[in-house]
Amino acid sequence: MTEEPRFRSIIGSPLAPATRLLLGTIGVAVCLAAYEFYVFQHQRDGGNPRFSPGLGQLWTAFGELTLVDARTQTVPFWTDTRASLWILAEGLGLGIAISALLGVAMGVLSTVHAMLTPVVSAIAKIPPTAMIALFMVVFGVTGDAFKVALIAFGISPTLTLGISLVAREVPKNTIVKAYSLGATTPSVVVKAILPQIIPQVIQMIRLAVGPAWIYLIAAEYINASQGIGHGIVLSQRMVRIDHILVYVIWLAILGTAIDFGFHWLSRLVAPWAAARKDD
Amino acid sequence: MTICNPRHRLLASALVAVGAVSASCSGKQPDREAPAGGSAVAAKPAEAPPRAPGREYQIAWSVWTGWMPFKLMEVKGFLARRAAERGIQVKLVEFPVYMDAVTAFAAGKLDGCALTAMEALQPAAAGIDTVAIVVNDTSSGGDGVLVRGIADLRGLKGKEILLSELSVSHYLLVRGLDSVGMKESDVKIKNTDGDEAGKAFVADSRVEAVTTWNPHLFQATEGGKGKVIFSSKEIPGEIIDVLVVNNTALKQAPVLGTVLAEAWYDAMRAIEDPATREDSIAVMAAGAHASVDEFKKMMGGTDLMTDRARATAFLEADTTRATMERIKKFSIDHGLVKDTHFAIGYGAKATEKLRFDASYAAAK
Repeated sequence: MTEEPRFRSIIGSPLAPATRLLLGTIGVAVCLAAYEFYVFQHQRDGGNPRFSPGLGQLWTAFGELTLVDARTQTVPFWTDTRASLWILAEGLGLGIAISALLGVAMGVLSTVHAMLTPVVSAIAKIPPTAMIALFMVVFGVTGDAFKVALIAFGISPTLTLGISLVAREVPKNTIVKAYSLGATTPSVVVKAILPQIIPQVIQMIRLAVGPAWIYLIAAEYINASQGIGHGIVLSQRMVRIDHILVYVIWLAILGTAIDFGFHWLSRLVAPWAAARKDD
Repeated sequence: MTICNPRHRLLASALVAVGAVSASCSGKQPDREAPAGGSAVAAKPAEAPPRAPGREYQIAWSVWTGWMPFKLMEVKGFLARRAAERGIQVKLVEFPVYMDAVTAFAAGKLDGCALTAMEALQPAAAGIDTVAIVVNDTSSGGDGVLVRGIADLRGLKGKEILLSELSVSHYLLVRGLDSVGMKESDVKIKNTDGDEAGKAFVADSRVEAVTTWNPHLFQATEGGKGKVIFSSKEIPGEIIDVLVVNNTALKQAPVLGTVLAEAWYDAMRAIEDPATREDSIAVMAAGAHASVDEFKKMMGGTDLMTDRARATAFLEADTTRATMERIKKFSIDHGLVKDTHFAIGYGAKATEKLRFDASYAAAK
C-alpha cells in the first residue's frame, strides 16, 4: 500500500516516468536547437563554417571517420575506440584491485589504517596529470604501460580511502553477530563486511570512471598510435573541428553507457541496496 | 579564454585560444601587454569591423634553429625600426608549442606565422588566404631518423617509431621508406612531439627509433647512443620553413609584408657580417636555450637562406614548385588536405588560397 504524502510541495515532488522521459527529451532538444541556432548565426555573420559545423555536417563527419582508411586498411574511429576502452579497462582494473586490497585492509585493521591513511591522503592530493612526465620515464614511452599506470595511480588513492571509510562504517553488531555464529576473522571480512559494502564500492568506482577518462585522454594526447585522444590530436592538426566534435560526442555516449553499465551491475549484485533507498 | 575573447565564441577558440593566450600572456611579454595582446589575437577579420589603422599586427614564431633570427629581429630592434619607418605596429609572439601557432593562424587569429611549407597548406585549406613572403631556411641534416640497434631503413620493418604525426618528421620518414621501397604500414608510428621523442630516445634505451631534429640528433650520435639512418640532407630543399602572412592583414596594411621582409634581411645581414656574427649567434643561442657551440652545430644542419637573391629566387623556383607538389600529395594522401584539386600559386598575381610571393622580399 502506497502512503499518501502528508503535504505537497514543488520541492522534490515525484513525477510520472512518462513525464520524466518527456522533460529529458525536451532538454536534449533545446540543447541541439541552441547549437544549431549558434551555427546559423555564426555562418550568417560570415564566419568560417569549418569552425561551426552544423548537426548535418557532424553526421557527415561521423560517416567520414567510420570509412576504411586506405593507408592502414582499418576504420580509425573503431580502432581508436577499442584501444581507448582497452587501456581504460586495464587501468581501472589495476586501480580497483589495488584500492580494494588496501581499502579493505585499512577498513578492517586499525593498524594498517593508522599507518597508511597519512600516505594515501597525501598521494590523493597530487594531480595525476602532473605525474605524466615521470611515468613516461619510469614506464617508458614505447608501449601503453604508462597510460595504464597513470589511470591506476590516478583513481587508487581516493578509491582506497572511500572503501576504507565504508568498510569501517559496517555496524559493529553485524560483526559481533557473525563472530558469535562461529565465523573466523577471514570469513567475517568476506561474508559479513564485503557484501555490505559492495553497492557503495560500485558507486565509487562509477565516480572514478570520469577521472580515469581524463588521465587516458591526456596521455593519448602526447604519446599514442591510436585511441580517442590520439584521434582528437590528429583532427586538430587537420583543423577538422567537425571530427573533434564527433569524438567528443562519442566520449559522452561511451561515458553514459559505462555509467549505465555500473548502475545495472549494482542492481544485479545487490538488488537490496536499491530497494533500501526510497527511490 | 572568455576574458580574452568576449566577442565571439568560435568552437575553435576553445582549442586555439589556449595556445594563443598562453603565449601572449606568458612571461615573455610585459604584463601590461598581456590583455591587449590577447584581445588583438582573438579579433577576427571576418567579423570585426574595419580596424583602426593603428592596430598591432601579430606574427607568431616558435623556437627552431631557422627561426631564431626572429629573436634577433626583436632583440636588436630591427623589426621595431622597420615598422616605425612605415608607421605600423608589429609584434612578434613566441609560441611555446609550434603546432598551437599553426592552429591559431589557421583559425584566423594571427596575422602571420613562421611555419613549414607543409603546415602552410592547412590554414590555406581551412580557408585562410595565406601568402608565403619569406623563405627562412631549408633543413639540411637538421631533421633525421634516429635509431639504436637498427642498421638501416629496412631494419625499421615492424618497429615502433616515435614521431610527430602529420608533421614534416612524418613526411621525412615516408620519403625515407619510399627510397627503399617500403610502405608506411611496414612500421608502427606512435604520435609523440618531436622534441619529446628526441629526449625519450636519449633517456630511455628501450626506444628503438624516433624521427626528430637537432639538437637531439647530434646529442644522441655524439654520445654514442644512436645513429641517423636518414636525414633531410638526403632530400635537400624539401623541408622548407617560410614566413606566411594572412592576406587580409596584407590588404589592410600592404607595407606589413615589406616591413617583415626588410627586418628579416636586417637579421640575415647581422648574421653574415663578421663584425656582428658572433654577437648575433649568441643572441639566437640564448633564445633557443642552447650554448653557442650547440647552436653553431644546429646551424650546420640548417641551410639558413641569408642570401637575399638566392632566397627570393628559391621562393618561386621550379624545384620549389616540384617539392610543393610532392608535399601536397602527401597532405592529400594523409587527409591533411581534403580537396584533391587544391592548388598552390606562385608570384604576386596568383590568386590561390596558398601562394608563394617573392615580391615583398625582393630587394628594393
